[in-house]
Amino acid sequence: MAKDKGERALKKDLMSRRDFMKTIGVAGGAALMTGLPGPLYSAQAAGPEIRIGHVTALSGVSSDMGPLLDKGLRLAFSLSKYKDRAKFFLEDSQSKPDVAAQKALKLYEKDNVHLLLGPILGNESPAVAAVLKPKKKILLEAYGANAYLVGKDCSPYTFMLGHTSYNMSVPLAPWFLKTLGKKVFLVGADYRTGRDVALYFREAFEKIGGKVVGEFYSPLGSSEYAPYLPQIRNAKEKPDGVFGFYIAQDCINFVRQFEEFGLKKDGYVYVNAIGGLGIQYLDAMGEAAVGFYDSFHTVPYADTPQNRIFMAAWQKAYPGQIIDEACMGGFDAGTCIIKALDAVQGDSTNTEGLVSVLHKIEYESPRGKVRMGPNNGTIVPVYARKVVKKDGKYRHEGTFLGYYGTPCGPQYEWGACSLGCPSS
Amino acid sequence: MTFSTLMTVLLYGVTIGATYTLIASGLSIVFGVMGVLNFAHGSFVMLGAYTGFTIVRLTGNFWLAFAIAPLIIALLGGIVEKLMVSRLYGKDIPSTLFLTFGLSMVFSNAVLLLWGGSSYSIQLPSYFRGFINLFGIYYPKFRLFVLIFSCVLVGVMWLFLSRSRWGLPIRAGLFDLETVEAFGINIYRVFSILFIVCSAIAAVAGVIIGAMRSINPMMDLDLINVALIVIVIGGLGSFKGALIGSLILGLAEAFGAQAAPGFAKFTTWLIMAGVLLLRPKGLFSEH
Amino acid sequence: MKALEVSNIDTYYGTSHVLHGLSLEVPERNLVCLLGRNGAGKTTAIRSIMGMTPPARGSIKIFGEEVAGSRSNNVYAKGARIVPQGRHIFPMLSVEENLHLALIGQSSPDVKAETQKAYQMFPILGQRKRQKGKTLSGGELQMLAIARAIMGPTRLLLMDEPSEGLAPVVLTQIEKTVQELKARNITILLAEQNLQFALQVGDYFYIIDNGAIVFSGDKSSLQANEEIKLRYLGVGL
Repeated sequence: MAKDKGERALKKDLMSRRDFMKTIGVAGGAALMTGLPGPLYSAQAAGPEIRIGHVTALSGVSSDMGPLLDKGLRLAFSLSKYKDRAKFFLEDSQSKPDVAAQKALKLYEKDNVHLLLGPILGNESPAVAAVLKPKKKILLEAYGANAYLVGKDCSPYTFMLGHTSYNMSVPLAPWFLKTLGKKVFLVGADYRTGRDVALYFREAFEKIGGKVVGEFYSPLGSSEYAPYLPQIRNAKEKPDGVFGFYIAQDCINFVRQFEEFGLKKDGYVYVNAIGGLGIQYLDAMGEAAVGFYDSFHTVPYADTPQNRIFMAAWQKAYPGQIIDEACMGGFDAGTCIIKALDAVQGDSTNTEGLVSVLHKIEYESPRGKVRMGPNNGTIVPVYARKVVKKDGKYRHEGTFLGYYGTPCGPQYEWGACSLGCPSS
Repeated sequence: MTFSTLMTVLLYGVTIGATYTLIASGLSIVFGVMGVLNFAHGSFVMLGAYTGFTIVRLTGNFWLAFAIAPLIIALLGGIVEKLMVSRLYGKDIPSTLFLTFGLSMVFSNAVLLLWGGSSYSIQLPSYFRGFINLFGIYYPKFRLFVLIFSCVLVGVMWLFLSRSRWGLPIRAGLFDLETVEAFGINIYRVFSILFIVCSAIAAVAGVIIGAMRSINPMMDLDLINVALIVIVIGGLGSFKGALIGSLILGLAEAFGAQAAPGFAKFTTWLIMAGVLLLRPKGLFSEH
Repeated sequence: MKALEVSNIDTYYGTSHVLHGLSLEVPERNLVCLLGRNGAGKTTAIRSIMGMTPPARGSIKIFGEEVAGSRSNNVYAKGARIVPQGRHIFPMLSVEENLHLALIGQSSPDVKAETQKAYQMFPILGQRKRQKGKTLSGGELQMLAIARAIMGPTRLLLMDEPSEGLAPVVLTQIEKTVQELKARNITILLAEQNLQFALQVGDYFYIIDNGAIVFSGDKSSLQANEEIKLRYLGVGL
């Protein structure tokens, strides 16, 4: 039974990637693309064109996400009244900041796009923002997590629709205390985000009476955690849960080995920040991840009205393909842009109009209710997502923790945003 | 460090060391005999992992992956040797490195195209899941299997080299290929067989690693990195060197992570630097 | 039929032209010596015949079959065997493995019988059969090199300076061995610098200088020609 499903999922996955490549005309592994219209809408425009640029990773470390973001973005438009007017221009950032910035400029200067969805990585987004800011060009970021862009490097033209390390770790502190207990063991990949997540969580957790009973940080990119895991068992006091941040391969290996070395059986629970237990990784983690948690602003397959619409549309456009956080991120960005366009009567060339609308925008997407904060960073619903197995598939069960943006101000490392800062 | 931690770390180090041996020995011997520094060796491990993953996905049979993935990769190795690597015999090492480096890029892009950028993992049969209590510590059953299996395979490789019809010219060829040929042996056939055998063993290692860790299109770089360090420590062309080098590296990673977590990778480089200072040709260089 | 006919070969090492139209013949069941100083081209000649440094031009026939341009494993298949200069015993292989290696390229060899034959000829090798090549003395290495070369059927034996670096007492032993090989009717081409040794065993003599044959003749004509000996071999009486 499970085998059949696996087989089907694999075949579909293989299929989808090839189809995608064919559709948008990728030559080789790392190709440059200029936007060909997607399969869902015709190329004839029924009104002035809405030219939308998208710089994202089609090659490099985050290349698995780029095509999905793009699909989500296009899907949002295909459901809107702008479906015949939208024209998309896709460029490969190669997961590199300098390439991303150069492609963003190219899209604005050569392809004359009206607005731009930016790249995925937290080091790409500031590079793109830095070149677009002086040119007063709009940049929307579905990912590109970087607190400075909602702090001292904020810009009236840069809109962060995604998360930051801060709003994906702090909300977990009271939830952890209430759900799991007062004692935590902190872990993480030893790099900026891993350390930040642990730091923000620790501050928030200790403030409300929690206690850190031990911690370790392993090198980024480790594939073996066996040498570290005994430290959790050997902590002076048994923790009520283990909290930290690993991403992608690291997270898969960590979670699997966490189970393999008997920690899960002995009642240790693992909580990973920022969508580390994303749906794309759950198959690889297998049973090991069931019962563990992570935090994110998006819960794929959540049974909410907005998400049901999205799921039905996705199913129709890409039958059988798994829905993940990235395609929902693209759809969310599309939803936001459409809402903004509505407010300027569909005039996508009205940059200043769009900027002032986006600055105060509120919209509802499959994530839930999203609202732009004064520092141009969204205030999003944050969920603690528990991994469960439903009908043989690995899914999330989200617990809503509240709406959180990323604060700014001189007390934070990323400083204050000149546009204003959210109260908390 | 408590006894149980010590044992866990020790067992872990030896297990990893044993799997490294499977990878590094092939790289080392191919280089020693054929003069080809095969940068694509890690790609064969990666392709073995992906092939094994697909077989398990399609059939649900873990052992089939163990049997078939090495055959497929051996075939691929044979084709690569015949069409490309064979043109490099007698050329300098940089030329062999350029070609095989290019090959490794082709392979990782082929993986992206065929399997995409997502991560996978080979699902284990239920009897390999979980862990057993060994001297009061928990150790994953599968890792114990990996340890035993790798030791057996290393033993088989040793027998192949020391007892088999093809082992003799391979060991002799490490020193003096020209004389081997002058004694009636078609060295190009030896090369083909060696390359094919090493590709197959790399694929076996790939299946093991794919079941222990996640599979991704960049794992080949990690693995070739490890294998290169091992043969620098152990000495190029030496099977014994690959074995000892792998164990040293495995244990260094394990204990290094305990002693100074932030410096786990650093420990490895430190050991390599130390060996290079004291014995520039590696611990067991036979040249 | 001649066991070996070399006609007009030119051989190069890279761009350096070593053999200039060299020709020589070895009749079956004879021991022919190729004499010359260091650097005269003896080793290159032996290597050319064996296919290890193939000639650019010219013909090499072994029992009538053309082998010029063949790789050495194919020359081996024609029955040519080599005792290379410097012996080239595999240091990390045992004595027995060194012997067995020579049988791998042969079709259906009787490994046991051949090994026993070698140990009968050189009992010391039988005593040392498990020892690694690198632990042997100079004389033992030379014996092993000879024993290895005559494993299985040997139609033409190419010996490159077997006397090199050996103590006089060991040299006597090697001389005896060569006599024994002659007695077994093995055709031999012996490249040598040591005139005394060559005169003891040889039937016919070539002198090579600068990659070309400068003298050929039987024992008496060589012994009579003082000028040639002095000029090309540096030995006077």
